[in-house]
Amino acid sequence: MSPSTIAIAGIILLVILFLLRMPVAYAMALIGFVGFASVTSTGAALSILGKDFWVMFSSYSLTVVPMFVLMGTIAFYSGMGGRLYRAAYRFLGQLPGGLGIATCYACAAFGACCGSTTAAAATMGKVILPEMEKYHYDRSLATGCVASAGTLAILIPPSTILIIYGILTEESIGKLFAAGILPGILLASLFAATVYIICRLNPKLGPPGVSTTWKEKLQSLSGVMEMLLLFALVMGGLFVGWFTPTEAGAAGSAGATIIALVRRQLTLRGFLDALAETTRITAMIFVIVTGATVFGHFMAVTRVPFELSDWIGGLGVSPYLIMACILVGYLIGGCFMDSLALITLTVPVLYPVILKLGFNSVWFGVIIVLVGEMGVITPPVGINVYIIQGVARDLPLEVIFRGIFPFLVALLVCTVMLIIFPQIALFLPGLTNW
Amino acid sequence: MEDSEEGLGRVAFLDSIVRWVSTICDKIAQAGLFAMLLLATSNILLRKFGKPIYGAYDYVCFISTIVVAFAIANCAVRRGHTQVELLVARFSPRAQGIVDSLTGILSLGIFSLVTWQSIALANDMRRAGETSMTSLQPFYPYIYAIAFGCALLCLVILVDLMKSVVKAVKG
Repeated sequence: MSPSTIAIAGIILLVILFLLRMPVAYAMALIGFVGFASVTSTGAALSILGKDFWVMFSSYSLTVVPMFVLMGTIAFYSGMGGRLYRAAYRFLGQLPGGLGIATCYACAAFGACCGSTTAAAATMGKVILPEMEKYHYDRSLATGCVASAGTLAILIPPSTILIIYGILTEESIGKLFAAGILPGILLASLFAATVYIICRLNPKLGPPGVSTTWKEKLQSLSGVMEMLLLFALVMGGLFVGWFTPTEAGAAGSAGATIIALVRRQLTLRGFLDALAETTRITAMIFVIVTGATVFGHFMAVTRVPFELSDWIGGLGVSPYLIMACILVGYLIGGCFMDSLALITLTVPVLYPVILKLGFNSVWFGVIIVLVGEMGVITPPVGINVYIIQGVARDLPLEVIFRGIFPFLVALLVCTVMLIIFPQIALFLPGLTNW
Repeated sequence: MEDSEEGLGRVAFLDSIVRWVSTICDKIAQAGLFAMLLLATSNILLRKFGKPIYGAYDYVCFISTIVVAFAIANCAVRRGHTQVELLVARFSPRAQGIVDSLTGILSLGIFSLVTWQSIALANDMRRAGETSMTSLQPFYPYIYAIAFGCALLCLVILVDLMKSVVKAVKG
């Protein structure tokens, strides 16, 4: 068999193993090992297996993952999300659909401390859904809004997906973080506009909340200030060059812990739970990235990614048409697979294609995060929807999925805007000189 | 009948031991994570005073290796490793048992190889006296830690495999 045929057979086998519920990381390592052995030799494959696990587990660039995950879990266990929501609500709550609009911006702000969509959805869901019920919000709109806005956490830095994308492509994590800021604000505003339009058309779906005094508004800003402080510390330190990305994550975790302790919002139990949650997520991410590395070596030795990029480059078709096909592929894949697993699996294959087509790699990172966000809220694997159902237990899944639809349109609009105006993502990274 | 119950009892006993060891190892990983946080933040502060911790980046990498190696088994116990539930969840319990047994054998196979190769790599590194560039720490203890973590993961997979086989047989 030729290397290309082995590669295609490997990809088909990999998909079969995924469907048979084999953990994604294990399947990638297994197929990567067997495929590499088929193309080269068993001895070489065994050698690369041991080395890949050592190199990835001890990689300095990957140490950024546990630090930023810890920052997010501390923010989760210290009730930071609730304070952000209360501040957003006091400023925006009196508008039609005001609670929903506040939710969108509070989730965006929480995303600046936390890079996980599930943590954001769980935190915000617990705080916001009871409030929305109190004001007789339509439950489909309420749950759809929280599940969708929770996805902002992987676009607004620090973002776990952007970190992994940066490691896989050797792109600057700082630049990727900078690239996520404006699209994150744009998407939060598009989500907010979606809620506003829905509630203007049918005010019963999201009645305005009670108005608040300026004193109350200003008092609530302390919840925003702590987030701004953390964000300025992490991103500022990273941009100015004080920290490496790992140190920025450590500074953020330390900052979040100090804020939580000063506010007396973090118990010892909460801190230990944050550590336990972080080790679980860290192990999951490291094993996936290591599995993807073994699989990536198999793909590289078959030269399929390069042949694929040469073939696509020679087609003479518009790069945008090919990009549209890639995005549709991601959309379909995201419906069935966890976005992190999908990205680690596909990026080693598609990255050379993207570069060959002349697209900017930082921009593409933001685009696949957006498509990954769609995967998090679309059936049947939309994890955020299951998280929200865990909070609103009596609500059928289909009601939440129905509420997701308008926000999915907003996500698509945001993606199209970024394709037409890539400067939205590339403006801030362009200002940096590293 | 009694043999079958005795067999199930042994699986449950092995399961409880593996879970206990995995939890202890995860606590070590959590302590490592906290140490990593302290080391990275101390290094930032000390650098501002012109006294950075010598070899801090090396130590962060080594601690990270310990964190991951000691956390992977407990992650598997807590069903933390991402998998696609879409298709197999719709199968009958017996069919699920058969599929899980098959993927369990494959998972056990690949992680047994990783364990074996990690030990081999650590032995090579020990013989060659390989150390990190700055802190001059030997690499091999950390590679043995990976081998230990993967061996523990193999035990977790083995227990799951036994449960799947029971499910496949009993339905």
